[in-house]
Amino acid sequence: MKKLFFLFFVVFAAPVALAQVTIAPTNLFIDSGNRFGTYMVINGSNQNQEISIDFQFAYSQVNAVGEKAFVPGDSTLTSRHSVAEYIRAFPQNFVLAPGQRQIVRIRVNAPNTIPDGTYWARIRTASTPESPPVEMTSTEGVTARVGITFEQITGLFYKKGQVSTGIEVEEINTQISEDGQLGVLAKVKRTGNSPFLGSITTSLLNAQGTSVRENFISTSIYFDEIHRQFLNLNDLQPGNYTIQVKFESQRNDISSTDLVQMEPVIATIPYTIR
Amino acid sequence: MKTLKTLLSVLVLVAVFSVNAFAQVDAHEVEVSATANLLSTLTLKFDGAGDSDEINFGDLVIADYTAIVKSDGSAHALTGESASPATGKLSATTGNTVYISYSTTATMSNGAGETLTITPSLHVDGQAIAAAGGTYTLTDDEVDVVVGASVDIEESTAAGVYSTDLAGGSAITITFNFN
Repeated sequence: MKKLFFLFFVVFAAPVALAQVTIAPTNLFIDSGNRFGTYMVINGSNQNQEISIDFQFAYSQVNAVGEKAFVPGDSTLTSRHSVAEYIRAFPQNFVLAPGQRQIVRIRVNAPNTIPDGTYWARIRTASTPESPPVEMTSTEGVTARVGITFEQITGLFYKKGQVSTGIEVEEINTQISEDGQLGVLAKVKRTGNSPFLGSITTSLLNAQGTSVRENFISTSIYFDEIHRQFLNLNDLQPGNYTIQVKFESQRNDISSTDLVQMEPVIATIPYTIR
Repeated sequence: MKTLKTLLSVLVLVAVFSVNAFAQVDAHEVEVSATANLLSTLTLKFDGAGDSDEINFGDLVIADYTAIVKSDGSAHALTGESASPATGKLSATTGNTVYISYSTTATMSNGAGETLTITPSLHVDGQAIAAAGGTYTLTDDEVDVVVGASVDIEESTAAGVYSTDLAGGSAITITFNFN
């Protein structure tokens, strides 16, 4: 009997200590056939969390220093690709008690007249712990208390009709840093009517075709861009190598049935370490 | 007794189902509805004594100096003994990129019109992230996030409790933009 009670305690008590705020899934796919989707917000903390949800249009773009950043779209891009203004969430503002979860229902009321393709928006889920009142104790010095609001921004993709995506690699360039990091810059053109969501593997192959360095990333390419990944060349022997960049519409965090599929794209250039 | 055993059996079955659901969330493969298939999760954990969601400067002495709670693991500067950064975890699938940005400044108030401006700093898995934004690629399914800050104290600073929760204050907002 004690074992039963112990099991009962463990299985119910353990998940509560798992995390503060969990969102699943991190990318939500809705098609024009049903227009509905759901995602889940879980409060794994031991405090009440105030949750608020809103939607915005943004896309990832390579910034001036070669890093990807999410930027808001201008009016032209927004009118062509955004569904943010058509999204409704139920509920949109709520308080989650410790251990509580909430399924948020999403409806996309996009017009039927939009051309075929994948449209998108970003879901901003903000969580703020409900803090106890600040104790105004008398002090001769300064007592400082800093609170934090967390925003988790995830993707929403709305598919209408026939969807397609593709990647064309126009050129590959390299740049080497003083600490032996080789930057591989692939200039890519995104084709089709949908963003590329998938994985990119940049490899350095030796003369036998064996990968001696590899960098894997799960990412998205919304428009034409210069994609950059790094390879560590330290401790590699001088000689002739091949740099290979492979684009695949597969991600280990998204079902392949949700991803717009394309044939893998592989581009290579020779590279010499002196 | 038979009724009690039956009741406990049902409870255990419910419990096993419940923990299974959470385990699936952790494994990034939870089914939450008929419209969702293979799912991923994004989790933040800043809670409790070990994983704190507050930056603590300790008790500060009034004088002209800058108190700094470091986010890179090095020793804090000119803070009270109990100073500590906010520490937490970011969980998502290894290999995914997360674009992170946060407030360049925030304000602590004593609720009576006096304010102190704080300048946050942030490290993820030991990598410094600029307030304007930076990209981090997860090297593991769970990585450490540390939030520090600096604050200027002056001789003219009024004594008392300053908090981002008091009227006139504003919290640090940290944004995790999932790719």
